[in-house]
Amino acid sequence: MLQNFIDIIAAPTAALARIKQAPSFWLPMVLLIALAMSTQLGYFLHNKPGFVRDEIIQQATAGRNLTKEQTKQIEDTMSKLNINAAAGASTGAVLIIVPIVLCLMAWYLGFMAKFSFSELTFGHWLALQCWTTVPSMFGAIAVWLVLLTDTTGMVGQSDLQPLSIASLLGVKLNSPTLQQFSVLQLWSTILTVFGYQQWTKVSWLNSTIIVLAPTVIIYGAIFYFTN
Amino acid sequence: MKKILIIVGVIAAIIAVVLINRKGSNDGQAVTLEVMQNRNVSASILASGKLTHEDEVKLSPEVMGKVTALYAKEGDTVKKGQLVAQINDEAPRALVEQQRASAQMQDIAINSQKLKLSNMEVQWQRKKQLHDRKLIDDDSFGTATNDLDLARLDVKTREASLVQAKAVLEESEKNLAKTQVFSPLDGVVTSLDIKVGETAISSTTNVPGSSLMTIGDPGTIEAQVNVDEADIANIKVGEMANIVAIGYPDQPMKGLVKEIAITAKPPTSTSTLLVFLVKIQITDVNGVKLHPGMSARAEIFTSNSTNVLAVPIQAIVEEEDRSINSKKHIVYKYDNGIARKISIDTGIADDSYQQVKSGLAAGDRIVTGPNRILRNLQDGDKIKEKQPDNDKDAKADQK
Repeated sequence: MLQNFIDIIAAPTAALARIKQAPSFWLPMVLLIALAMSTQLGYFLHNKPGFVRDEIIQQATAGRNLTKEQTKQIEDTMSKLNINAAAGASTGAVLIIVPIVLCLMAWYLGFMAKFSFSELTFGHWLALQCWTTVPSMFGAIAVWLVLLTDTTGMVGQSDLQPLSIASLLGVKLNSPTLQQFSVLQLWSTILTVFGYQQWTKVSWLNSTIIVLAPTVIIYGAIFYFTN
Repeated sequence: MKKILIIVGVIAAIIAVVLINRKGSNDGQAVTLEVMQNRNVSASILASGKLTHEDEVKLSPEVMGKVTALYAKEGDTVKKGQLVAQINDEAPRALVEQQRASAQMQDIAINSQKLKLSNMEVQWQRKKQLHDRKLIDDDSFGTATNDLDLARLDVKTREASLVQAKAVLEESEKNLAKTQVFSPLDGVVTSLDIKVGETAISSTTNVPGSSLMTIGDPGTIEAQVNVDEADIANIKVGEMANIVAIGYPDQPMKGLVKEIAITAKPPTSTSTLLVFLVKIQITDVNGVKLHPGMSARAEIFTSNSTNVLAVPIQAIVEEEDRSINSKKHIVYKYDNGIARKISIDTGIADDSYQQVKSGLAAGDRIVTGPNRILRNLQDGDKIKEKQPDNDKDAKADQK
C-alpha cells in the first residue's frame, strides 16, 4: 500500500497497473478526507471569528449581481452565524461531499469505459479516482504551512492556496472555486487521464476528453457565470 | 531511493513555493491609509420630491356638462378673470328663461289680485254702510268681510311665491354663470386635463372630467420634498439646500427652506414611512429650465463646520462599550507598521467625512480599508501600506 503512495508520484505507470490488479480505495479516501477536514478545521481555528464571518459573506456574494438589500440580508443572516457551528458543519460537509464526488466521478468513468468494452468494475474506477488524488494531498502541507506561519489571524481562503494556478500567475478571478484550482489538482487530473488511457487502451485524445469533460464543463460554467 | 528523492523534491518544492509566496506576508495585513487633515464638513439630509408652483390652482367644474369651448391651451399665459373654458349652457339657460317667466307670471298674478282686492274693498265699504243702516243682514256682511280677508291673504301668498320664484331664478342664473370658467390668477396653464366634447363633472374625487386645467404662477416655482420623520427635527426654516432636478443632474440649484409641514403625510399603499413635506424656495436656478412636476432631490444642510479635523467615514469602526452601554467610535492609527487602536469623539458628518473632536491630530495616518481587514484589526496588529486597487477588497468595500 505504501508502495502505491510512492509510485503514484514517482512511477505512476507501475502504480496504476498494480491498482488495476488489486483495486483498493479505503486508505487514500480516508486519508484525503482526514486531510481535507484537518485543513478546514485549521482554517476556522486559526482565523479571527469576525474575519471568517466576513470571508463567508464575501464568498456568498462574490460574482453575484446582488442588490444592496440582498447583500444586507445575507450580512444580517451571517452576522448571527455561530463560527464554531460553522466550523463543525463545514468540516462535517467534507466527510459527506468528498466521497460523493469521488463516487460520482468513478461512476462516470465506469459508464464511459463501457463504450470501450471495458469490464472493469465500479471499485476499479473508485480506486483510480482515490489514488490519483494523492498529489492533491500535498495541498494540505501547503495549507498548514500557511496557517502555521501566519501571525495575523486573517488568512483568506484564496491565501490558503498558494499553489493555485491563478495565484502563481498573479491573476485575480471573481470565482473563489476557480481562484483555488491548483497545480496539484491539475496533476491529479493528468494522472486520471493517464490511468484511464492505460486501463481502457483508448487514444490519448479520447482519454483526455472523457476525463476532462466534467471538469471543463463545471469550471467553464462557473467561469461563464462569474466573469 | 530515486523515488523517495522525487517525493522529497516535490515536498521541498511545495514548501519553497509557499514560503516564497508568504515572504513578507507576516509584515502585516496590507491596508490603505489616509493622512488626517482639516476639511469642511457639512451635515446634510437628503430628501426627494418634485418641483411645483407655490401659487397653483386646479380648476374644477362647478356644474356638470359637456365642454363646448376651451380658450387656453397648455403653456398659454392667462390673466386673472380671463374666460378659459365654456361648458354647455343650453339646459341652464332654458331653465333660467323658464324661471324668469314663472316669476313674471307671479308678478302679474299679484297685480291682478291687488286690483281684485281693491275692488272688493270698495264693495265691502258699501256693504258696511248698508249693514250699518240695517239694510243687509249680518250673514251677508260677514261673508263680504270674509271674502275681503281671503283676498288680502291671497295677495300675501302670491307675493311670497314671487320671492320664491325670484330666488330660484337667481340660483339658476348662478348655475348658468358657472358654465363659464375664468382664471382666478395671472399665470400659465401647466396642464390641460380635458378636451372639447368631454363631459366635465363636478366632483371632489379624482375621476376623469373632474379637473379642467391647472394654472400656476411661473414666478413662484419651488421644490417640495418629503423628509423622513427621523430627520425632520434637524431641519429649520432658512437653512440652505442644494436642489438637483433629475433632468439636470450636473446643475445643482440653491435654495432656502421656506416651510416645514406640521403634520406628517399619511402612509401610502407603496410606502409605510411617515414623511413631512418641506418647501424649499429656489434662490439660484443655475441655468436650469424649470418645469413643474419635475422630480428633484434636495440636500438640506443642517449644520456646517469649516476647517475641522475629519476622518473618512469608512475608517470608523463602531465598538460596543458594555460598561457604559453605548457605542464607541474607533479608528486604527498607523504607527511604524503597527495598528494602534484609538477611541475618538466625533462631531458632524457628511457623506464622506466625520468631524473628529478628539483622539487624533492632523498628519496622523489612519487605516481606511479594506473593510474586512479593518473590521477585524486589533490593537498591536502588524499592518503595511498598500495602494487601493481594483481587487476584490476594493470592490467589496465599494459595495
